[in-house]
Amino acid sequence: MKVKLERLLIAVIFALLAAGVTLMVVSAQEGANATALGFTQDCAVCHTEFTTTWQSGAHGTAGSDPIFVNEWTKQGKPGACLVCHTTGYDPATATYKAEGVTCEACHGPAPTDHPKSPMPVNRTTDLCGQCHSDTRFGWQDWKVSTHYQRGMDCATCHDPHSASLKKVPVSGTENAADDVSQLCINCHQENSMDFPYTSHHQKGVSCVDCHVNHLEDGDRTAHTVPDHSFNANLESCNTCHSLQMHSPTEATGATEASAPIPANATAELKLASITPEPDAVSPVGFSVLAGMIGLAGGMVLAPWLERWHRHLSKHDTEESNEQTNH
Amino acid sequence: MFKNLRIKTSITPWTIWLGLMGLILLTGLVSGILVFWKGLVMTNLSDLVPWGLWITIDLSSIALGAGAFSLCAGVYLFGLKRYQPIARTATCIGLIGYTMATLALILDIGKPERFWHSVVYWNTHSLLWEVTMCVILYLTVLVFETMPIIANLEWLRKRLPKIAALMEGVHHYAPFLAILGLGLSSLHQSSLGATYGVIKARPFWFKPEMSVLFMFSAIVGGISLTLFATMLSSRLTKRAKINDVLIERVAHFVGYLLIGYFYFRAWDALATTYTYDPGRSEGLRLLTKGPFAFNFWIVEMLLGMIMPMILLLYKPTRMNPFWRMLSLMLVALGVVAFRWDTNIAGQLVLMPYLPGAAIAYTSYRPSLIEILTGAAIISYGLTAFSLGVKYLRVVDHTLVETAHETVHVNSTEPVTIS
Amino acid sequence: MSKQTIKRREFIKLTAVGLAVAAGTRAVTQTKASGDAPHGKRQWAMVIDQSKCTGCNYCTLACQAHNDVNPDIQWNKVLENGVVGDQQVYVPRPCMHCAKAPCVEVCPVKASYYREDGIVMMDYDRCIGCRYCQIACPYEARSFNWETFTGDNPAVPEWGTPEVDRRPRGVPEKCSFCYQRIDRGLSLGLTPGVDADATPACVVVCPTGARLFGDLNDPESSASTALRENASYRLRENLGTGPRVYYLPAVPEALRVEV
Repeated sequence: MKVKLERLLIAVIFALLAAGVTLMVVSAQEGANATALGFTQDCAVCHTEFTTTWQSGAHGTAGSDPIFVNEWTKQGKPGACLVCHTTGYDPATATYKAEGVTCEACHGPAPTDHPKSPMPVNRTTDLCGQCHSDTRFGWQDWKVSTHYQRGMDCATCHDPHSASLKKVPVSGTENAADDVSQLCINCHQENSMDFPYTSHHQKGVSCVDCHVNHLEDGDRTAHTVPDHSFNANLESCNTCHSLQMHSPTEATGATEASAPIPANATAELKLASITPEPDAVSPVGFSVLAGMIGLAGGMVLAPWLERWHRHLSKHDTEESNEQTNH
Repeated sequence: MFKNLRIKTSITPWTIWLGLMGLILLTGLVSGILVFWKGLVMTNLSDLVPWGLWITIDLSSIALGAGAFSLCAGVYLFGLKRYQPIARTATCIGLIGYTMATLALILDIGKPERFWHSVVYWNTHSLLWEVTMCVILYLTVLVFETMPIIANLEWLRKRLPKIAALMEGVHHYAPFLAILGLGLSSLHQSSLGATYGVIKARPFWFKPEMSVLFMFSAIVGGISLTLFATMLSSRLTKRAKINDVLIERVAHFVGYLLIGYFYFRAWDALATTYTYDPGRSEGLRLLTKGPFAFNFWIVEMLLGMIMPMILLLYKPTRMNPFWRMLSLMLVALGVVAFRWDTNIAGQLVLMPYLPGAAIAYTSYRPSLIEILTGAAIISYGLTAFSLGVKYLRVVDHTLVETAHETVHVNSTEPVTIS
Repeated sequence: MSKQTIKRREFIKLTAVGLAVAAGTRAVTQTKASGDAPHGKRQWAMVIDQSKCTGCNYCTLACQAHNDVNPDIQWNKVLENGVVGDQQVYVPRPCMHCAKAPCVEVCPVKASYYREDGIVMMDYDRCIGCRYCQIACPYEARSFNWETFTGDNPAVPEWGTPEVDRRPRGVPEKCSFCYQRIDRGLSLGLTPGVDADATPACVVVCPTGARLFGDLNDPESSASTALRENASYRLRENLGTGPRVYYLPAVPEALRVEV
């Protein structure tokens, strides 16, 4: 029996060694560099974090979106559409490198020593403008806006990979806000202080309703964007108040106010308890002090208390003796 | 070997004591494993209060183990050879104290497996590095100084007589070890104070007297704890034989030391009332009127310094063993309270770094895990000392060196003893 | 020879041996470069214009993304500090990368050290997690990893992609002036502060251009120019830590215009 146990132990040790070495070798191989970098499939080998955001976003589905494919086919599959809806479209040969707006469309081909060299990217509006420059896109609105004048670009508000608006964490909540207006308030915090008290906010009107002529994705015709001049104009007012122009009616489109917009829509840490005044003296301290004084007092008074007790008990026994005697 | 082992299972006070200590140690072990496994998030430490109960235990253990270097210096360097038996006890307590501190530190640092980095990677500008190096070196010195005590173990004498003799022989080098111990201890006891004293970010700590206070409190607290432990053991077991005259003499000395310590502490704490000093005045307020008020006024000042000072300098109370023991215990407690106050109060005052911002405060209460592991470390110390008293004659004033028994007198005239 | 003499001789021998051993170990042990303040050719500094900062926290989020920081930790904190006119003034506070950094002075293992270009670096492999640097920092710039950061980083990839390893549990971490971007940019011939790929992520992402980065030793850099042409202050200057992050106080005329 003894011999068998030893053998078993040795076998287990060998097994563990083999498994451990194999695990080390296998995990070391996972980090191997991809060879030919250029297309989306190769980039995703390292940049896995983009697959979820980009693939399901507007850029990723630009070539495969059923609405696009439908329209494109109906119109006779014109090459002009593919200039933007594919990557690396060559009009001469009517071929393209990949469907949709892939990594190379904005970043260009990867440098040979990537990741030593960073992927080049032009962070200005002109890059996005290569496709989003059609008059239908409202390009000229953006150019007159204060945001553009102050040096901001599309990526300030839009996440270029998911082709959607950036989400900023809101104080007091775990998740980033879904309301688009949170993004505006994130920078324009002064306005968010008073706005919740206005009647407009009470009726559920938010920043984008007036300033961006907000339209739901489904309501928009293709290749249009909300007004990026951010100027609230008469049209915005008319959305709800047109009927009130000449007759005393109610404004249309009134809804209940959404949850009040917090003024500081920025992430807050779980702060430790910070107070402007220090904690008070602990009541336990006072009670222990009182206990000590009681202890000392009791020790000092003990002889007299004892004498008093003896006196009392003697008095009691004398009384009871008297009573029994009677 | 195991078959011959007979375990006595009678319920005596000793087994109850061991059982209780064992229970606390076991609980602490489980908690400690939990901390190593889940990380320091199990504690109530935060970015605002990174040093809590464990660091206080570490500071206190090092302070209360300082009896070793003070008494050994007195015996071997100042020639007060008659106190050698007390120095023996102090050395043992020193070793226990420093190992307790090491345990607390291993728990507390974020990467316990890297504790050896301080020995290999040096930063000579850092006081914590200096403390770590000195503590490690002094621990080595203490191990050597404790060897003669361990050589008393009956089992060792029987089984490995040669090694036992070798260990006993280390006593030959006691003066050299005492000098090393004095030097190393002075370095790290004061540097422990300077660890706080150089932090210019927190004015409550940023003062040079931190080194002096820590050194002073260590000497006072260490000697007091040694004396208290000696007296307590003699009352609990017949195995611990003491010479009350020696203890009374050292306790008298402690009384005088307390005057100096009280002067320094009172001056350091209360002199900051002269003017408003941002950060410093707030810290003082925490000590005098805030959450540390009881700790500071009662435990540190009244019980820790004033009362023992009076009791130990007034002969009738000093001669009375009860009052003497009480005073010594209170001194040790007061030193612990001082370390707690200094460590925590400095972190509770939040100095603002934004222009015009006000000073704020935070709070700290140790979590259950910290308390359980801390209790386990303390019970380890108590257990080790109890075992030492029982098996190693750690408290035994009859074990006097022959060299110290006789006193050489140089005389030019014949001496008659009447 | 009397016992006394032997003891003295032994004592002297032992002392000599002890000193020799101490000196030997000192010579053998390697110490990291410089316990003194840096003095390289380039000295990086950051300038933050409080007139332009809107407190939007883009810098915090970009930093968390590019350095793979736990969402519970902020290397760059944006704090409120007073009002000018009727506009809130913000103070973004990264690590100050002090010229006389208390954290470098107190680290027992020199896991915190100066780089030639003035950046206060952290060696996360050397750090033992004693948290002395946290105690010593006057700006609360360091955050300790009380637990392991597992799982996805919510700031990735919206605000950027991680460029450095995630720190393990048990070590403190802090802003690094994105030294990885600076080093990579310099090796490619880019200019930190001018070229986005060589500049700290917080500076690049700031929508209003409130953050500037540059070489103090280069009089033409954006940082040097800003400091030369504007009044500036640093935090807790009275401590003498020599921080490298300068603030241009909010000036009512230059404040962001009301919409």
